[in-house]
Amino acid sequence: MSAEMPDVPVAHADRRMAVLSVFVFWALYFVLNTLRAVLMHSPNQLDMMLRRGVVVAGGIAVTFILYALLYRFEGKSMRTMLTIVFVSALPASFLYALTNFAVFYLVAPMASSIEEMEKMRAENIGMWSVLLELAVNWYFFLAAWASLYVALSYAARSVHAERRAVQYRAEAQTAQLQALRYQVNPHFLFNTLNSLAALVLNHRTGEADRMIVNLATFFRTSLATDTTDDVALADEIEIQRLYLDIEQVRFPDRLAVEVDLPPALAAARVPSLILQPIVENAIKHGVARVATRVTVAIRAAASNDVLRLSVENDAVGPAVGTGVGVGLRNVRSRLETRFAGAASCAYGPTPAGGFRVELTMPLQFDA
Amino acid sequence: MPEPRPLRTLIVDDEPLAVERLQILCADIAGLEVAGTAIDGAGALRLIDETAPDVLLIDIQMPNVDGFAVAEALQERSLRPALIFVTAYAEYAVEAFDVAATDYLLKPVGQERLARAIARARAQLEGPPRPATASPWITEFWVPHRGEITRVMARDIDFIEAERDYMRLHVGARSFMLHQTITELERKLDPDAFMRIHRSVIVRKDRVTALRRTGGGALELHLRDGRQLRVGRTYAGDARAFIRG
Repeated sequence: MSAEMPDVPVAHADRRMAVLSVFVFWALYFVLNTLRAVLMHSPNQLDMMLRRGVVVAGGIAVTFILYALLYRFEGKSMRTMLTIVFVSALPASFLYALTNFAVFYLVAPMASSIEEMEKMRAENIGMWSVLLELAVNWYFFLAAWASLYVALSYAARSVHAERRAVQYRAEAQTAQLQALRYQVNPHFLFNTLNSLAALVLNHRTGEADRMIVNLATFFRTSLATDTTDDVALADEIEIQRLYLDIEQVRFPDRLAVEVDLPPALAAARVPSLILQPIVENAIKHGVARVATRVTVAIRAAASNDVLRLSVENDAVGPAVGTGVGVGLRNVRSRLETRFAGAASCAYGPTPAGGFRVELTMPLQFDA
Repeated sequence: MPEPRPLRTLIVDDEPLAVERLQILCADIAGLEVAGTAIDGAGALRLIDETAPDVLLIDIQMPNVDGFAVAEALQERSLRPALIFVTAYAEYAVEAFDVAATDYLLKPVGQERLARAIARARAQLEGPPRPATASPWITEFWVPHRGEITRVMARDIDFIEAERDYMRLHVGARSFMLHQTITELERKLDPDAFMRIHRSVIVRKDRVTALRRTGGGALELHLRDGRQLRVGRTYAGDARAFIRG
């Protein structure tokens, strides 16, 4: 395979459709001509029909040769394909004309055919010019079928392209969601290990044990979760509680946690770990920056099929940067990728001087 | 030999458990006495004035007055304790170096590493005072190495090589990565000791043994340890001038 041609399979016209079109074309010819003979009360109808049948069989064979040729070149440009159509229809039509001529005039010719031949001989018309006339007439028939085939091929190609585009879009979205995946903050890990080391050194084994279990559960959940999946809101809030429990060991007197999850919303589906960067910010920019006690509140509410999640902290401290951090940008991109325009992420200071982030998204439950 | 005077140490961290841990670790280090603990920078400064400690074990990220703010406030005081940062963040090492910290420990710090930092503080406190007019050129680097911040002396470096956004400091058979550009680094290094020989290479002059031309016509510097370094075309003149002395 050359460098310019990526490893993409050529889209072929639907095989059944192509074969069917060959038979329909020739059946139509057969039926129309037979009908004409009947209506015109032509002589020797049965004999003629039989010969017509043989000719049609030959025609079908010639068309299949054409089919095999076009199949080989499928995937080339429209121009190339049409050139092949009009060039290859020439020998095909000649081949067909030969069959036609042989069946009607050479093999046990009927009385009417013998008459015709004698008339031609009298007018000094050679066999070749008869063949040529037949070939020209049939050229268009065969070219028409070949063009139909090219059209079918292009239809298949565009369907194929569309399917691939849809597939690429889905893959791109998955890749994007994976790239936006929440990554555990290493400082959180090191600070937690430091707290753990202190608990162990101080023989506070019960607390150390609980913290190890919490940490393991938190890591297992955040590492193992496929972030392109949705989770139940109750599970999402549960992992935030785990995280906040761990932080509470670090800041025993400075962190209070409030959760308001109406039971009716426990099973609502939300993107997994969507709250994590926000809760983490509440610790980093709220709790860690002020020496007083800070309450982090997570609340869920719903109205008109819209789910509202908010994370608020009441830390009143020195103003920190007003820009949107990486975490919030990430949350916003994930919502945008997942719900297009149907979700939002708003944030800002609260009247009391704290900070609040509110997410809205379509309220969905598992089918 | 008389017992050395105990080093009076302050522990400053906004996390009670972190303070507790350092207290326990310090209790096991001979010749060390915890003179007090504080949970923020403001409290630390108050305690420093009250107790005039020898050593400060201090976190960087704290509410209001952080570790660096304390370090800056100390520069204006006459009595300056040896500053040892203890933090979960490896990325402040360069800044810590700028405030003349004695050491930089990463949480959770091991007993042995803490003891080494204290020993260094003791050596510094008992050694000759630092000259007022220190060399304007950098004499040591603090580089992350195997989960620790390690000190690399400029006089030990054989040569420095740029690797994307990092500089690789070659010290004998070992090497350390430093997040810096080569231009920044060149500016900090003593030009009497180091020279740039390539777009991406700086070499320590006293390691150079010869300058040779290769079969292909390129210039090559030979180092004491047998290594050969290509000389960039724009630096060929400098290299020749250096060899001629």
